[in-house]
Amino acid sequence: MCIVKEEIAKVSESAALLAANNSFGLILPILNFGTEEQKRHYLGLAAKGRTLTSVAITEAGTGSDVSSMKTRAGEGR
Amino acid sequence: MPVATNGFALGEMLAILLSRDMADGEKAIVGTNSDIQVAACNPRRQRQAPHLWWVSGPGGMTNPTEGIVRPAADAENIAVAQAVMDLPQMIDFIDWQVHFFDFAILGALQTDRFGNINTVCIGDHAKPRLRGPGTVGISALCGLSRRFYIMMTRHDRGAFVPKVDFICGAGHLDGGTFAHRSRPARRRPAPGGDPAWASSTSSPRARPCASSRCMRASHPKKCATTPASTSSCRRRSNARPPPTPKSSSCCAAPSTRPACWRASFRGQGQLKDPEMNNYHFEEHHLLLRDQVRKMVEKHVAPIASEIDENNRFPEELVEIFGDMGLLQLWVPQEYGGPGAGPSRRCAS
Repeated sequence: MCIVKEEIAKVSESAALLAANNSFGLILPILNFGTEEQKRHYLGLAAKGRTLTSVAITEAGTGSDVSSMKTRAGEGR
Repeated sequence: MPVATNGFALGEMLAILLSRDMADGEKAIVGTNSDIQVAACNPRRQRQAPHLWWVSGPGGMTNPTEGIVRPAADAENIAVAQAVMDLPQMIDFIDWQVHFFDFAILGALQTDRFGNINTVCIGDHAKPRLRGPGTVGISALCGLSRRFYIMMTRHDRGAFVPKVDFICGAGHLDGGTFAHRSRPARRRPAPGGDPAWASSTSSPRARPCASSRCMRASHPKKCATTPASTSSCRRRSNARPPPTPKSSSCCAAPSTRPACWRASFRGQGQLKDPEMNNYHFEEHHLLLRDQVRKMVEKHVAPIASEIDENNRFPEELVEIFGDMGLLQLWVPQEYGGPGAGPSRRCAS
């Protein structure tokens, strides 16, 4: 995150954050756990900037503190 | 790190000074490899502030109990942490939640009397005499934490300068109300959200004085030799104060009026690229930097002020960044991504 972010941040911190937050991390759930179909559909779009990635995980009383969440995911019966 | 003649180390004194300012229930963020900061937090939580908690930013370690935090990638950090957060979670904390952190403890290559921080370079940015580790999270934490401490293990004119060579963390910028006038409303520090310094010879709480700040001596040995006039606030003036000996305590820095923050960051001079001191850059790094610089000049600079003032998300930049391969660096080329390796991911 050094060269690119620094160059953008010299002019706009906001734009640098856009690049930083979409340059890593948030696509990893699909990359690691998505189906092949999901990967083919979303990864290219996100990498080309045709869609934005975000983490939408929350629960009443926990905010974005995922370690405090009580909801659990499991396979449907 | 020097050891004071009266038997305690500089780091110990700094840890105690910082520790005294922490309150029960506060949430803090410190850097990685921040032994002094952790040495301040640990005893405070054990003795007076049981609900104090802190994270080591890049490492995502919560309440590391050992008095040392290793570099971010060191797995041994996990053994001494009460919880571990991943990097996106940390970015979420740092960048998007105003006042999530009560305070941040930051380091600096240089700082000035307005509490501005420089960790990027000494000298001209285009041809620096010394390159620092970069901005990292400092730019966000200065505006989004309730207060921040600038911890300095050096206390001399090279570290406390009239004007930092590069502002990567905004304190009071040009002084007075300048910080409030020049930032979007959501980035303004709350009342009392001021920078304070912790250094080898001064107290963490600097005293406000008109539009500038100076340091209050607190080091027991140094105080004894400090002229009375320098341990109180000094009025801002255009006159250069008489030189003080190195490592004397107090430091309202000489008053040369710093250039306008926006002018220095968004002015044309920054974008015209003189040859850079590239002793540690490979050719492809320089190529990437030049490509990004040209793109920034063409697409980002014209809208930079407008998106901040209107609090607007610059959607039009997303495709441009994507076409340059700056987004989603992990995505392999077979899925249409840049497929960047570790080196490229660090450089980008």
